[in-house]
Amino acid sequence: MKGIMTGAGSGLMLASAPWLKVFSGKAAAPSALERVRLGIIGVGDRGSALLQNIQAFALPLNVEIAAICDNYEPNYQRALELTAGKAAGYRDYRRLLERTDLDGVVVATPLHVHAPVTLDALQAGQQVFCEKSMARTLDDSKAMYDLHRRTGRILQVGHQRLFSPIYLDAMKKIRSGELGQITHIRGYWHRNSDWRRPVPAGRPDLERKINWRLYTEYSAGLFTELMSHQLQVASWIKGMQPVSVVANGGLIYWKGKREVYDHVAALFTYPDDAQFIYDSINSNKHYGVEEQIFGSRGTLELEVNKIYAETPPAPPAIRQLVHDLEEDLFATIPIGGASWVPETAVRSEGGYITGNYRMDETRLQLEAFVGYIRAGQAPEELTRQAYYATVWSLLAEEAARTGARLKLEERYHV
Amino acid sequence: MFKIRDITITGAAITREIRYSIISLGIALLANGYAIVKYQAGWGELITQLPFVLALALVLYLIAAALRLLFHSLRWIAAAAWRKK
Repeated sequence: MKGIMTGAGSGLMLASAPWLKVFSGKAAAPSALERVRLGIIGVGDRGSALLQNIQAFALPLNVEIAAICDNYEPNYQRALELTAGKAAGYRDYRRLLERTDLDGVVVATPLHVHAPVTLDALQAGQQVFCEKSMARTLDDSKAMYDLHRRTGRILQVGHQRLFSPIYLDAMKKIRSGELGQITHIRGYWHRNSDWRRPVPAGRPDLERKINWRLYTEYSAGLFTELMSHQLQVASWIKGMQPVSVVANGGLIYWKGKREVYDHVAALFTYPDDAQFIYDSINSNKHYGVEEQIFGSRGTLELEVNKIYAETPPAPPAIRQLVHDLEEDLFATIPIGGASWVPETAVRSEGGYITGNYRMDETRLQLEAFVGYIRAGQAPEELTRQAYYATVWSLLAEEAARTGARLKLEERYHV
Repeated sequence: MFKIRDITITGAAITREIRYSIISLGIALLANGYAIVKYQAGWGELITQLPFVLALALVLYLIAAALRLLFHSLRWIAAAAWRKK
């Protein structure tokens, strides 16, 4: 946890990521820390992953998972097993929220339920960590944000890249001017799967409950489940929010098995005319996931922790000499034909953004949540970035559906 | 069964090979210095590129050895042809 603030430039780090202040103090002994009791609402795939991450630091940070809740029996039973029966189990989240001994709740339900659960939790006086995206609709997202502001309770949303050492070191380099002017950002997330989770045999009634991500009633599909992460990164890097979006989507490969698009593309424009171009597909995984940051003096590939200078450094002189002699001796003599050489990609190995990449950002964001609970507050910028990543993702979905170029209405600005 | 001949490596032969090695290394070091001047690199490369220079010296030595082998082979063939006459 302390390692995230190592090295010179932690001031620059805090300037670009003020939410890290929670890590800048001296680590206290567990006994000196007031116990933090958490409840987890929604312990499916993501929820149980968060549960296990919390368990990994529960002892040194004096954290207790006091309660779990899920209305799907296999998830409920699995969570009780994971906590060795120590956590109280609930099938109705409202019963969990009636407890007065919890310090915070983690919400990891399907997207369309984020709003009612989080609103109830904030009303009940809880500090809340809610998985991304914030909500299924713009109105629900705005309602969550407004209630968070009104109650003064923490609302942290699960954009874990905000805590990743790779992304944080990248931000330091960007803010220091090392990359020059950031003029263009490209993101993509390519998978080759139908995105389905198995439904128990003989239980077709569970199809929409288990595979909620595939149905427009519950999710915006690739826009909210994947793109929102990378859109948040792009806006964080630009230090501003988009002004418009155009988008397209199609059900091309997994027809008949879902309602949400399986191929999407979106183009966001920022106030300085820079663009974030994005695509996500479910029929090819060759290029995987990446955010490419293009600056006038360099390029970043964040998911693989690489940085490239726009003008790679020259190789050592003796190697240049040998290379030139080889070219003179063995180069073919062109006899007619085209003299134009295509501008192919620069082949430079580049360097690594950070050597500090082994820290798990999912765990770091949860540790931060515990720290914010103890401090009684979290940086507002965290919630603001998450809110805008959500509303612009939802706008992209609408733009794909209508074919229109969309702007964010004034009433949704915060 | 064939019998392998005894080979004697004389001091003169060793001295000769050492001389060729030193000449190869000298050429490689001079080439490094020349390259530093030509491409305006830092003089620190005299040290940092030593592994590459040593490898280059080895390549030069092997090229010289191949040329010497070729020369002596041709000379032996010519002498054998002359003797037959």
